[in-house]
Amino acid sequence: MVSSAGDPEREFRDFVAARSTALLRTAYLLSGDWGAAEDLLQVSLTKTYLAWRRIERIEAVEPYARKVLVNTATSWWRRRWHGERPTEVLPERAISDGLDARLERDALWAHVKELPARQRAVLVLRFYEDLSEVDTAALLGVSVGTVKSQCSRALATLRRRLGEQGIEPGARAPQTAKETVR
Amino acid sequence: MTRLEDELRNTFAANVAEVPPIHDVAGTAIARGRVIRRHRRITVGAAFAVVIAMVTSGTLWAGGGFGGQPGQRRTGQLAAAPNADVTSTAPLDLVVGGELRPAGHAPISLPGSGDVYDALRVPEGWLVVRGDKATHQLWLVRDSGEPTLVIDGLPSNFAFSPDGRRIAYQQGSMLTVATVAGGRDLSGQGVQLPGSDRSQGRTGAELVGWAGSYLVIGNRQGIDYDGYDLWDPSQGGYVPTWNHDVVAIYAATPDGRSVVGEVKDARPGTFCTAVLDPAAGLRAGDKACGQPYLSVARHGLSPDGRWVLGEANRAVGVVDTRNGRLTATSVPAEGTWWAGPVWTGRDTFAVAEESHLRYGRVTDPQHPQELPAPSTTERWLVVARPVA
Repeated sequence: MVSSAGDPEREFRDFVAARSTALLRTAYLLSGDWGAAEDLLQVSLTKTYLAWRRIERIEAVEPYARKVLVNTATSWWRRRWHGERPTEVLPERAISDGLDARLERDALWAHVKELPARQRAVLVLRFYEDLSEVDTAALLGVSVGTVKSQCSRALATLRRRLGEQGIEPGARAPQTAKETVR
Repeated sequence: MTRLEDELRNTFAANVAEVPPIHDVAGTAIARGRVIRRHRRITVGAAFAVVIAMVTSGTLWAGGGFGGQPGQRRTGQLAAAPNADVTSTAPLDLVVGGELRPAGHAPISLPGSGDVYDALRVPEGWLVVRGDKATHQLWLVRDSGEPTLVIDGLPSNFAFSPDGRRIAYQQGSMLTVATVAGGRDLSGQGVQLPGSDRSQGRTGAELVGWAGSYLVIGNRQGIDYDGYDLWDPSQGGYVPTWNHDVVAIYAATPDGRSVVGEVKDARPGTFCTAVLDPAAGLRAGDKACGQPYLSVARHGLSPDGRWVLGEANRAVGVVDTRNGRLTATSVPAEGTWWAGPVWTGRDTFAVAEESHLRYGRVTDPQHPQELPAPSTTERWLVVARPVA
């Protein structure tokens, strides 16, 4: 139990109030649709509530909920996906230095949503959650080598699909992000 | 860091900058949880009958619990009694939190601190990697529970050889191969990998894992890999010869003559699992195209080296190292995988799900057996068994 002295339901509600928005954001990136994201969050929170008495430390609650979220998302993909679909082929555009950032992000997001669920989960955990490869592997229950190869394959796919549209990722902006490989 | 990675970060952040309002998810979770608990209470009688049947048919909880000796703790390991299917439900050693739970024996408190990242059964006991994210310690824990620190300061990029006798690890550009059999770090072989290390990460050759007696080296560019290579440590120094068509390497046959991996197909965007020739720059031989990608499990090579175990399309998948074909997939899991699949015998495997361990057989993957998993929310994993 997280706190033997407290009211479990109250503690659970406090946890949800504090962290549900962050979890919902991750759920959206995993599912690509706000409705599906809310469903994902609901399942995750229900399982977390059921496990509440067995979770001994409050710090362990969010990792537990996130693990349920990610694994449920990847197992749902084939059976329950009902979100928006990207268009078959995005319109080709002339690429220039003045390429609108929003359009480029939309194109990238459309291709991210076409990736297999596990590859997308790896990208979300690595580039949104900023988890290390080791932690990503532990959360997904796969080897670090698998995380590396899934990530590599996903990025290669994105590069190829963007390249087919004549988009060079980030060509409009200097590099700014901090490396988080390890 | 590549520009695509920057763009991914920006895209993810932009897409969740605004979050729509949601209904009372906490209240709904509590209500649904109560319904599920009621359902569980109703079905507990039926479950009890199943347990009785398991006990009478010979499948027991070892070390306490059902059928255990008085005063012993329930260890959470499954033991097979004489008339049980001992092949498919072979005893498993588990690590739960900071505790090793050997099958049929009392739990052992593990030395060190932090998470356990890997655990391997070896003749002398168990090799356990534990520590924080950046730096680990490699311990040998003998059957008596006596610990020996084998490597202090093991970097996070490490890999055990399939037979568990050697470990490779990379610190910066230095790749070291050590023999750890007998609980001693018999270091002595290190090579300088080409490439550069900067504050933003590594570019160049990087340890990925083992394939038989070879080390798999990836050509790292930011977080991406552009080609793979093999290095045979017995041949001394390393000079990279990247094969840019290879996108993943799964394993090698025990004789080292064939490597199984994933390669680009001539058709853009498609990939094939292929048998690669390590003596010819990983040239692809037999191919199996269009089959699901295999996420290889930790220690995914079967004890006899015939199969590679992993996840394929959210099911347990098995690839034949002789031809690269995905020969078997288990029933897709409905729940959450808490630990990746592991081999339990020559052709049997188990996968840990949220509430049970599912045992399957390569020749009959559609009819798995299920037994309860440890009741814990701590990080846990199944101890791997090296290739014979």
